[in-house]
Amino acid sequence: MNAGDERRSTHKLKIPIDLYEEIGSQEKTIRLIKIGLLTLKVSHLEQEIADLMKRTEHQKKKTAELPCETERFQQLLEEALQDGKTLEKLLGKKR
Amino acid sequence: MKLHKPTAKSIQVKTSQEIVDLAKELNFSLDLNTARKVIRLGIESLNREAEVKLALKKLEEEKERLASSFQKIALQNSQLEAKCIGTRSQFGKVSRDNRVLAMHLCARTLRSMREERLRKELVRKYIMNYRSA
Repeated sequence: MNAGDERRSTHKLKIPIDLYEEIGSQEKTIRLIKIGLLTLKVSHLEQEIADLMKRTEHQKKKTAELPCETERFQQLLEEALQDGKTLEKLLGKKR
Repeated sequence: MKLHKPTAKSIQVKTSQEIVDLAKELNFSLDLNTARKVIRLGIESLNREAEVKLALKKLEEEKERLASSFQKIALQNSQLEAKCIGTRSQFGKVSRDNRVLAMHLCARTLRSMREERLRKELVRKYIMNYRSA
């Protein structure tokens, strides 16, 4: 985006006067602020990506564990259903 | 560009919407102290402006790719989880029913040693050692 495309707003920023005098111009000050913010955005994105990768790894771990867990409950269920039949038979209940 | 009368330590300058949007996106408040830090960062990165912009572009693409991948896996897991919870819930219900039947069985007179052995095993499983799913 070039300077011509930038929309000017009514927003104002307070700049330390010593720094402003060191820089020398408003345009350059704005440009430095923009570059500074873009640099911060790079760090911010790197952190977001690291978080996403961590969360994705956690999800992949769940993907591996869940079918085993389901299988375990399925086996317990089948055993419980069989026990239920035995109990009813011992109680003399007709199915 | 009209400059306002400087205060003792600061000067007000008009800024662009792009900067306002960037600061908002980063949840960053541009006050006197933070403006100093940001400007210093800008001075350090001035010679690498093109490199910073390229890095941003690549990182945004990477983030989008990862976010899409994460959503797919999370959706798949929510379905797997629903199945697991369903099976566990079914097992829980059958176990509770069996517990009630085992309690009734305690009061029954049984016909053989085999049946006594079975009752003992089922009572141990569904009453003495019972844990809800």
